[in-house]
Amino acid sequence: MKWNPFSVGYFDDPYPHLSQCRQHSPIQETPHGVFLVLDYGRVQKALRNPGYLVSDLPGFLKSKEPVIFNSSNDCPYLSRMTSKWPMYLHGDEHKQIRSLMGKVFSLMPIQSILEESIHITLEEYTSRNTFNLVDFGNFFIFQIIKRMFRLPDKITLDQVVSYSNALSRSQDLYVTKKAYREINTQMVNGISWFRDYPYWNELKEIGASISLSEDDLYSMCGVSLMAAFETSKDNLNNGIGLLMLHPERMEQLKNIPKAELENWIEEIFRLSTPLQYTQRITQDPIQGWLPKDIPSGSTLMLSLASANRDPDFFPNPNEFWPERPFNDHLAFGAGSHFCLGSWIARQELRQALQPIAHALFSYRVKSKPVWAKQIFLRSLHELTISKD
Amino acid sequence: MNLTLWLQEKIGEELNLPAHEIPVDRTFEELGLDSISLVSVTFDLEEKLGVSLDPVQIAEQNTIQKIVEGLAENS
Repeated sequence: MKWNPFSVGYFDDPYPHLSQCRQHSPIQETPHGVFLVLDYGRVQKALRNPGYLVSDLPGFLKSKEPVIFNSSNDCPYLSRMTSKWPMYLHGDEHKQIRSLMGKVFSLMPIQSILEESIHITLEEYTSRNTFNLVDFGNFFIFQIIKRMFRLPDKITLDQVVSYSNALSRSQDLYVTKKAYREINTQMVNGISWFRDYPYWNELKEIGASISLSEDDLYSMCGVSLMAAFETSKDNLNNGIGLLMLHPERMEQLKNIPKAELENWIEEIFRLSTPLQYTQRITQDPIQGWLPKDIPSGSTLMLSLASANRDPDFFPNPNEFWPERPFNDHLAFGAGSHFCLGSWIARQELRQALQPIAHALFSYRVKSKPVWAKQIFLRSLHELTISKD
Repeated sequence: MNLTLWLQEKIGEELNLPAHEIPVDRTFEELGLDSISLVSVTFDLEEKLGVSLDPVQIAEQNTIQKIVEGLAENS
């Protein structure tokens, strides 16, 4: 079974295809010369291996800009905008940027932001009999990020949805020129949301010892918003959607003790795995994975989605089983590029899951879930719920 | 317009060449077509035909001739 994200049904549910591929051949060379890794053991080791480099998205986009902007008057900004995204940085620069962003995050009053955001969201939605669960989740995460980054009041939820999705799609596979140009336009327009606003200024002040240009500051602002919005809303929407398909779970969730809640949260992360793939570059040949050696300088596409459902590590992998004995999932990656915002993502669920269960337990799913046609990020697009 | 000519025109636009200079039996690598250009042409073709296409398969077919033959077989 050869991996193909365009195989029938993949976007609705990639897991049967990933399972078949993993069983058939857990390492595969794709038609584009990338080596796909599907089993938990190898994915985890690759993430933790300091000898592997992260992929060079800004360099890739730079090399493609002449093609993307051929016969276009747009100013290419894709490479510049992604130049300080920590997931694509190495060594000292990675440490420096990651540490700077971490420091600024640590100054944010996350607890009170979460309390206020869940309160506003439930007040907005629970009087409605029918709504799209995704709108609910997006609204909640928008409340959080507009307070975290103190975005200008004029910025709307719809604008953030478009902007964040555009930035995340810059990392996807099979992106058309037209889509890249739209992404570029979003990147260019978004700078006015941040320049000289508090988050920008904090990065500038705390990072005063590093020489940061305006492009660098904006690159960090954009990736912060994208990482905080896109993966959080995907995790929440995918996770709540999953629970709502089984009303008894919502009922159970209302009253579980805090200690058990932690297991539920981790199981939601494992099953939702918003970031489905990540890439690493080898610096030495790999022997023994395939009949032929994998050459030095190869791209490994690590399937976090497949690894998190590897039955050798997660028995009954598609089952929601919070009490599973081992749940060292890879939804946040692992190693030196472990997700910088993971503690915020966990805190969001700690704070919001039970109030959401209390608010939504009497709602039932009324439509089939509609999923975005994306490969790297799995994103629920629509799920209508109604009060019984 | 027939599909072969349509593909020659689209790929010609990507390569800044007239359609008649695009051989139908040369691979896209030989023609110097970038992978992003091929993905873009694939999704344009999908829109034109109103059917779902598989960009992985299109990349494997790798020539205009094979794409057109593949579409004829599946229609």
